[in-house]
Amino acid sequence: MDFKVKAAPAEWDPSITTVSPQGSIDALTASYFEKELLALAAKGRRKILVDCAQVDFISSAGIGVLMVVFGEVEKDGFLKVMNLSDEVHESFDLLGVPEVMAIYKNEKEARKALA
Amino acid sequence: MRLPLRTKFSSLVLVIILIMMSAIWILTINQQSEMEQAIGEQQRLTMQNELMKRAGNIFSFLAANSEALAIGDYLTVDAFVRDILTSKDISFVQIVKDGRVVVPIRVTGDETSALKLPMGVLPAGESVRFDLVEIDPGEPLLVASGPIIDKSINVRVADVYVGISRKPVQEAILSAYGQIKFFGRTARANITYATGVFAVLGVIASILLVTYVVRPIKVLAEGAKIIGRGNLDHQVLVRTNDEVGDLAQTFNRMTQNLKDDRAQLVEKEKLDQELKIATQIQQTLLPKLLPQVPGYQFGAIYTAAREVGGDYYDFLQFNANGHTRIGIVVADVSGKGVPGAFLMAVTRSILRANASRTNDPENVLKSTNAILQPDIKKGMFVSMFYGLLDIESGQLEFGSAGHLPTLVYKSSSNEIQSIRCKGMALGLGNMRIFDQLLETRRVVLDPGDVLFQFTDGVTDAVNAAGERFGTRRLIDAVRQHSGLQPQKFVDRILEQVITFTSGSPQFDDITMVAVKRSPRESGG
Repeated sequence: MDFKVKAAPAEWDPSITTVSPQGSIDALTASYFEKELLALAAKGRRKILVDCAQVDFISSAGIGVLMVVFGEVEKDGFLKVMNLSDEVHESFDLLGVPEVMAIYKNEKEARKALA
Repeated sequence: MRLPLRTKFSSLVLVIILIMMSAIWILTINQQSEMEQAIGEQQRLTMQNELMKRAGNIFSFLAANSEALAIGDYLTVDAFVRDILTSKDISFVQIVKDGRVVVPIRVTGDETSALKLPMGVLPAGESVRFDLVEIDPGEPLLVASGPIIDKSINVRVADVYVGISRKPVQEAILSAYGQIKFFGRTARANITYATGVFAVLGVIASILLVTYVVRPIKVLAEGAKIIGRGNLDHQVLVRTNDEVGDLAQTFNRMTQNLKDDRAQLVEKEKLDQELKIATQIQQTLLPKLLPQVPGYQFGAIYTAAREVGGDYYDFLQFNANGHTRIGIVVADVSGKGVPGAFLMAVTRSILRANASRTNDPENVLKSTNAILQPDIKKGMFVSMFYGLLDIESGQLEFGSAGHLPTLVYKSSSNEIQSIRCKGMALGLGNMRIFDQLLETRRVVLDPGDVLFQFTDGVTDAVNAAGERFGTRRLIDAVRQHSGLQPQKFVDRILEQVITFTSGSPQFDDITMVAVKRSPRESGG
């Protein structure tokens, strides 16, 4: 049940912040995750790429957090996600999120698209 | 009685100094009387020795003239005696022969007179003796008495009595006493003076010291008053590197903690208040009664998580042209607390308004999104199942705005269909994207069939081991309890979820709705 969030500038573009949550983003951990992301946005890190490689589960509350931050940074930045497992992708897909938010298979694809 | 620290400290110092002074006084007085005794004794002995020496000289002279005395020639001796008697301190000299005073020679009358010894003086013995007597009051005498012996013939030729005044001795001793007393008084006066000075200095020093020590304490006390009045931002400024400084630091930390605690309390009260409002909104909007329709049974359950999420369900009943339709809503609003409850209320109203206008669930969801999406706060969304059940035919047409699959239990085959419609949560995308994505499905409920719709609070429920209840367990539970009356059915599934989590807190709302077509109903 350990949930951690790491954030670091992307090696290939320091203006982009790669956020790597680790664990399950559910109703229990969502508010913490939201706080971390909003703190980043408040510090001016408004180009956010969420790396879900180590996310084993995301609930609608977790996606709710991503959507809130997505709305928050939309005007002068972006929030995009990558490295979704099938199960996690399924959760995004169910809500129709891929229709409004860019989801990249992996970092290579993200880098190509964001270059 | 309230005494300032300053008064207490200076009184204490004053008392200590006074005790010290008294002790020194007593010591000096003791010492003085000892000194008086010792000096007096010494003086007396010295003077007495002097007197005795004097008497001895007289005796020696008389002894040297013993031959003259033996032959009765008193003139030589008389001249000597008269000379001596001119000395003030010599009270008398009497040479006695055969009981009569022969020297000094009497000028008139009888040449000799009978001896009259002063009171307390014994007749002369075999050797020189000294007696201390007082003839008249205030006239102390040393009387030396003894024989005069003619050594050549070894004959006692006369007796001599010499009276020497002891007054000078006494006066000398008294004067010595006087001096000692004077010195003692002077010493005591000096001690008293010095003590007085020390007392004043001590009091001043203790006042200064206490003022110095008390000043930071006063600052602390003042700070405590300010903080006591409710100003928790106040910091006590005491920089002294001592116990008071430590106390001030502790005090500041305490204030900070108090401030944090109060902030937390305010925050918690705010949250509690929000929670209360949200719960009230939700409770007001949830249906009070289940639909009463012949041939169908309904069941619904909603349990709020600790922080109220935004689940809701609703039943709508439409009667038109003798046709009864039941609208079924199960939704999950993103966002918690008041914003979540508010969005739920708005969504519910828009949906109800739209549902009453059209019989097409697809249109109901589309128009609901069209109204909701432009106004909804960016990032918030609502996943929703909306189905319309035709009571006569048992046909259910439904769409899903990004909601979890719908489970349908078919009694004929004892199978469970998990039906997922494409779609997108309300509020996420504009009309164009939403409408393009949305699809609806139709399913017919035959007698004994059960429609079951839930929210993710059911499948996402997690136990202490981190396992989730999941779809597989849910499908098994639905199959297991499908024979039950729908309200019991949802109750039982909830029990099963709670047993699964076995005491782990519920973090998300749980909502379940079940509709069962009565098995015995024949007129499909």
